[in-house]
Amino acid sequence: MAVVTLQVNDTTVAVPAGVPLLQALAAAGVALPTLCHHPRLSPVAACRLCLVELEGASRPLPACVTAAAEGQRLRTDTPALQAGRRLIVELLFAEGNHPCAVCVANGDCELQDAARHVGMDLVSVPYRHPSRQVDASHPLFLLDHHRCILCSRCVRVCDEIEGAHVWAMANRGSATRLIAGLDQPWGTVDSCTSCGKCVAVCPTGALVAREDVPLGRWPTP
Amino acid sequence: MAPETPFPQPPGRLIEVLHQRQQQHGHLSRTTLAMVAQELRLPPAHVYGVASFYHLFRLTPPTPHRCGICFGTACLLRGAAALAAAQAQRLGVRLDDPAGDGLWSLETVSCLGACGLAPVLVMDGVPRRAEAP
Amino acid sequence: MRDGETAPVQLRLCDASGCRAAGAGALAAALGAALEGGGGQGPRPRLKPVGCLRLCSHGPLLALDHGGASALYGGLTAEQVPTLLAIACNHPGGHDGDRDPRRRALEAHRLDSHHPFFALQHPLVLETCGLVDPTDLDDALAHGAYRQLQRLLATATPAQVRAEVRRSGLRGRGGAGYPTGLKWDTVALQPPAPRLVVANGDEGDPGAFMDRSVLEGDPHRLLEGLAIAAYAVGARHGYIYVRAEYPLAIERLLRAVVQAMERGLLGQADPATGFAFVPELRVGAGAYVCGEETALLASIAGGRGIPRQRPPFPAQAGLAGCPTLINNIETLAALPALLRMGGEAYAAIGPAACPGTKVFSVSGSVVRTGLVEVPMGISLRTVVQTMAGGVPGGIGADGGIKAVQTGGPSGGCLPAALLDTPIDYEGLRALGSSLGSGGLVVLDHSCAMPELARHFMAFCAGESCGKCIPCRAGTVQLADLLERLMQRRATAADLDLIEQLAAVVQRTSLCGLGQTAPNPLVSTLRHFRHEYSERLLPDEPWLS
Ligand SMILES: Cc1cc2nc3c(=O)[nH]c(=O)nc-3n(C[C@H](O)[C@H](O)[C@H](O)COP(=O)(O)O)c2cc1C
Ligand code: SF4
Ligand code: FES
Repeated sequence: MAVVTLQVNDTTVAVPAGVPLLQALAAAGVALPTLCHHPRLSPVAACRLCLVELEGASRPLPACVTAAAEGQRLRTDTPALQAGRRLIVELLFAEGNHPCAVCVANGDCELQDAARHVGMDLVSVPYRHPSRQVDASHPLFLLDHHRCILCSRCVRVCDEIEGAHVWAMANRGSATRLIAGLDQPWGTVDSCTSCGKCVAVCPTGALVAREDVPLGRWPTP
Repeated sequence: MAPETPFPQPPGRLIEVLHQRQQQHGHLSRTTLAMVAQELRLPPAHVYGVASFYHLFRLTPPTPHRCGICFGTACLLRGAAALAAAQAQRLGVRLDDPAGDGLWSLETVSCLGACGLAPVLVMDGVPRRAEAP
Repeated sequence: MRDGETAPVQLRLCDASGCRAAGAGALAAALGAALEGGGGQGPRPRLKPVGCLRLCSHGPLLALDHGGASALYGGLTAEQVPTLLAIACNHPGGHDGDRDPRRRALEAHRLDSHHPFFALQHPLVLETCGLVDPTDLDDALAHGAYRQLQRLLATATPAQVRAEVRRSGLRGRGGAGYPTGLKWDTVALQPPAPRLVVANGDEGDPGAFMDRSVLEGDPHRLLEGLAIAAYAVGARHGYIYVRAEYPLAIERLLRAVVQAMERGLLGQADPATGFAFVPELRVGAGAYVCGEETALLASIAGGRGIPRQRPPFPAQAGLAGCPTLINNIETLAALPALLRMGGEAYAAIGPAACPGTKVFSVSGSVVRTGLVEVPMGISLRTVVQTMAGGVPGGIGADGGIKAVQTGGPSGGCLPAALLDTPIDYEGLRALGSSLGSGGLVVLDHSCAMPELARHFMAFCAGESCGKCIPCRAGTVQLADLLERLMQRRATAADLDLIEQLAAVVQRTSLCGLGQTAPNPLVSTLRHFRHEYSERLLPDEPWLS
């Protein structure tokens, strides 16, 4: 495969032509937070945290889906990009209910990592405190919608790798929510194989295994 | 509203089928959605996801009569909000509550492209000019 | 002319949804009954349902063609039918002519066809809208439908058609103003594979009804334009996506497709070139974002209308991965006239950078609302003041106009002081607004700009697909903050946050919906900032 040379924040790197720019960033030792991206799943470019500025492009482009090409010059650290990333993470924290202190994923959460990465010290947009549900109907796993950031990794892993098609997004806009089957309790969806892949790819504590949760905190189905 | 088209429709028939079923049954119940999923060999979650994405698909039964008020820009400027309030009072229902009073419900609708006649009222599907209150 | 040279007496009744809502149905029934039972003398006038006659605010509209001349009436009711028919049939009508009070009453409904609203129009897209019966293929053929398609199939190669469109300088009417010829070349020059064409009739911008009028009034013109586009890029299959809120347009279009297929105008291989084109209709289900081209493709495929990151552009990889040409209804409907006059002649209309005519739907606080087709580059003032008459009862040099909202939820507001701006894509964009698809909503001084911004922001929040975070969460926050401002509970810090959020949503959103959602807010902040600042809570320095 042809190799292309490009510049990331003044570092010159060489990567195979056409690979996502994220690989070029990695080669240059530049890390950007990513939430919707997963290396084994189709990219959706939804979280907008990996946006980079490409010389000659009219607006920033997501590194997770933009193809590397010869001679590109990109920046990841302009003030506009940094401000944007930070506000996006703040919007996520304000959109759901994320009380880290009582979350199973505390310390092992990609949303926390992203917040640390962008240097979030307070959330400047008003918290929305949505009223959401917990689905504890599955014998092995739990789904806490309060912590879901709608990255759709679980939907994709179940469609693309497990082939069980348990999950989908329902509604739209800020009412978007993850559903199992015909918007039914997860435990009642026949096609679920209980493989646990959705739990494994969840970046936050929205999908967790019962065994990881301190005893007694959740009802059993 | 689902038109019969004279051409075979191989892949993306879902939205059309949902239109057809809604026309038959008035709304899309979970049973209907399950049947559609089976017929088209689609995952139920996908069918529900599509049905809940579009404003015009109703997942709960509609009231026998419905009054719509266009909230497009032109209508809004010509008093759609006041019109909605007046209608809500007249009918004794809340705006955008699909259950209404069991007989009538009042909903906002998106621009009907009849801005020349603003403010526009839609009584049981028939748009007409409303006198501004 | 099928109707013969003797110019029969004809009543053209607007049967588009605007006039229907204004009572055209009752008028049609009364006319029909009167003509059925009608008196014996004289030739019977023919009643012909037609598409939009332009001046929607005065509907139901009716044109009487008589002895080579036309008279347009507005707001007639069933009572006036006998008098109208008496005139149509040349009856002196009981008493002596003009002194008849019923005649005088009818004359009061007569509209002045020399008024600038009509006189300044330059119909190309709408050249036969209002003249042809949209349900009658023979009538459309008599008015020249499909003639350009047949001429091009017989005499021009696809490359020549593309060259002609390039020469015309036509730019897409869907909002972005992308050069149509260039887009066609991109599709045509992709590696060999099936190609598809799509007509975008989602028209969700509140305040826009140009595409609906084409579909309701002259559906064969769209079909001809779409078939020409298909020939030019090498497609044999196409989709027409129409929003479900337009049932009459769907009905007319469907009938037109069946007629054209049955007559062999579409669907059958052209003997010379082997070109055969099959259009298929797809109906939306209420989602503004489906007008965005990648969401449109997802919806045609039967899924949720969720956009995806471009590139690849649909012209490179669209439906089922095939190169797919997506054009707006008006863009396609401009083609028959454009190709008849030739690219050069079309390019000579309007400014060089943005030639041709554009249809605008004028609504809001104006005397005359309706459809106008005018050359690009005309000033906003000409359209909203000279043609549409400004605000009813409005006084002053600007006719009581405070601002004009263009481009719907992705556009902006231009203050009356800028009414002399010529209308074109770059000009409006430079002023922080946008031409959008052609909706012009006139605002009077009772309109509060922050309230308008809040309305559009709430609209975008409700129409956001929910995929990307800045748009899904940002528009909701902005709508709430603007609501807070309207309730006079916002501080200067909140206004700062509003501006920061607006910039991030514009810059980082995935698709055009999020990228343009803050435009009405940003443009009103630019031109009417004081309306925001005067609503802020006073600074309370002792609190900080
Ligand atoms: C949110 C959004 C809504 C849109 N709605 C429409 C629409 O209703 N009709 C339309 O023709 N184009 C619409 N567009 C523009 C289309 O994406 C596309 O640019 C256009 O159909 C291309 O046709 P044209 O080149 O003939 O203008 C919309 C774009 C966005 C981002
Ligand atoms: S900008 Fe809005 S509409 Fe577009 S993809 Fe993002 S969430 Fe969806
Ligand atoms: S990782 Fe690229 S947009 Fe989410």
